[in-house]
Amino acid sequence: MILDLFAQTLLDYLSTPHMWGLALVGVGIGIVLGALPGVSSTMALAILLPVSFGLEPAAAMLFLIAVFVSSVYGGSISAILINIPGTPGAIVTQFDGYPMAQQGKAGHALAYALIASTIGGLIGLALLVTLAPVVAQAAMSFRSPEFAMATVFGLVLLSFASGGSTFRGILVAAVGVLLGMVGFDRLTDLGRFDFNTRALQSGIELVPVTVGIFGLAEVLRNLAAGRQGLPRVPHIGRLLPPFGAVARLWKSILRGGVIGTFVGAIPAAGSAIAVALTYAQEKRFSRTPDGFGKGEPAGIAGPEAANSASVGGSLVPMMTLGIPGDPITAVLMGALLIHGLRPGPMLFANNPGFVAGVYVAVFMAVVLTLIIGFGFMRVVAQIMRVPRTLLFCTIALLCVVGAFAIRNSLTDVYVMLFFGLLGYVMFLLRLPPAPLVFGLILGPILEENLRRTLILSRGSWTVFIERPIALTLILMSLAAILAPLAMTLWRRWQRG
Amino acid sequence: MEDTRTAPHIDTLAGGFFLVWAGVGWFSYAGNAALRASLWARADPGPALVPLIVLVLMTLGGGFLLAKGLWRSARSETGEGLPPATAHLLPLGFAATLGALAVAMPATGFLIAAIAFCLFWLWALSSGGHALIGWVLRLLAAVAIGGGIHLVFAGLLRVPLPG
Repeated sequence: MILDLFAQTLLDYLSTPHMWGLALVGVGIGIVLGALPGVSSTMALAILLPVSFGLEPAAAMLFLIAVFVSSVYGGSISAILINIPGTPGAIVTQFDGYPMAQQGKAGHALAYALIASTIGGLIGLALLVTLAPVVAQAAMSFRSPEFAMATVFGLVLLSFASGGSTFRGILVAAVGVLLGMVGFDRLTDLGRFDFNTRALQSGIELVPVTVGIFGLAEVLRNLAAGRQGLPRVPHIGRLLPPFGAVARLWKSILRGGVIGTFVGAIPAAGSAIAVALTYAQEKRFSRTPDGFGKGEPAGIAGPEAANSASVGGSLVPMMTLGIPGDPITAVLMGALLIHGLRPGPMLFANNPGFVAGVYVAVFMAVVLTLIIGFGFMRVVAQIMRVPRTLLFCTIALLCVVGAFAIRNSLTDVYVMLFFGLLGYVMFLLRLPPAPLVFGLILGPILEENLRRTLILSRGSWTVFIERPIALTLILMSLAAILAPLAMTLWRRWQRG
Repeated sequence: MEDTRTAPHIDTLAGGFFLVWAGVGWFSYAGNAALRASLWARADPGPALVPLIVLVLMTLGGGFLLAKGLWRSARSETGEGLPPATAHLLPLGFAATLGALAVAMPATGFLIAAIAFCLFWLWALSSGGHALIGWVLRLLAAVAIGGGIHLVFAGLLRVPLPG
């Protein structure tokens, strides 16, 4: 049934110029932004989120997923050409991509990355289509206690994965949850933390916070680090490698695709872990492991397939459980919420057409990335020569306009500025900014389910340990909190 | 659990960061009698429950980080600290001019404010000097950036940008 729906939706999209036009624009922008050092996929999505306001939910998701998928590939372009990964998932691509570029084979390296990325993306999509309905079906037995604890688990895992200390990440997430409580309570209409100001009574909008934290704060960080210069981009040379050389990589690509999907599907694991695992695997399986780090094609193809496949994987927990697996899917989930759609198992039951639309969006994005990637690779390399000062000004203005666009209010621009500065301060204090956005998104969901649970249980908290799934989620959350502490103690004990 | 490679004052400041947020939260909670009274007033635990849990967590966590920083300072531990104050001039100046742009927008309109903002920063961040050709190029780039964004948002997406 889902394949019929997929085919029908694909035909609908392809017969609507507006839809494939959006996908085309999204892919073009995504590749360029992903390729520009200093612009992560999260930042690209955050600054383009306001563009999706005026679109229908399906069109908005198509556009944002196109940006997401293509920026993941775009990240590898800068990794190969200038040894700076545009996205965290491309961190391993530079190990062999950059040496190849230095050997005058930048075009070959980019082609290996693009082909592997396309096949990996399709493997990720296939497993998303297969896996998501199963997980959603299993999650149909979830009730408020399970959802409340799944949200807690998501917050803890995302804090764990945000870099730095889990403890600090959880505290930052707590700030985000608190910010999510600002304004009138939906159930009782009681005002909270609004200081009787009209601007706060309607709550803190997700978009200005997201744009400030992921957009402006990144620009400020780059300015502080003195990264204004012009990157040196080498010549690409011949683009297409020999067919035999590509064909020999099929095992690496397949392994990368499968690892990427499954690791990507684990909330908080993320693409960086998937590519690191794949690289280690490829080196282990290789007959010439000494060639790794010196321009080995399998060192590009495997991780790139994993990187792209992790997109499909990361959508599994977001779509089925309503838990974003990483900052990028958190922004995507924010977009869904803005359009009045709450991800979770009910989305599959109530809105299968929309779910099929997401699958089609991933498919179109992967295919269009291949086409535009090959067609405009040299153009993208030229764009990378653009001075970063132009980029900073453009991003800053996009942040201003994006924040303004949500309610046509200058107050949101000031809120965005505040959170941009806050993100910069948090960077100085070694506090990961992403959990703040997770807290803001997941806080209201946590509160709703926690209160509903306690109403139904007549105030008894034991309901959370009486239900096996909720208890498992609590234990897993505790393990995620205590694991880093145990590791620290273990290292200290070993050091004597 | 904690990264001890940072300087102790980073821990102290991070602790202070969370305590400031918690302080603002407690101040608002203490001044909101209706919110306080709502806690377990009926079957619903009320809108105060989650904020209370979060405020307690932030207070304890912030206090812990503060105490840890002070303790490490007392033991004269060292680590990577904050960059020199001059490193913040550029980002803070950038944010300040962006604030000025937001203030100026209702009076000048988005387009003029955006072009002025870009022109200033393209001059401040470039090494092109004061040559006329440099200024012409900067002006062209500023018009292209400001005009492009205006075209997309005001023209295509119908966002009513000021001016």
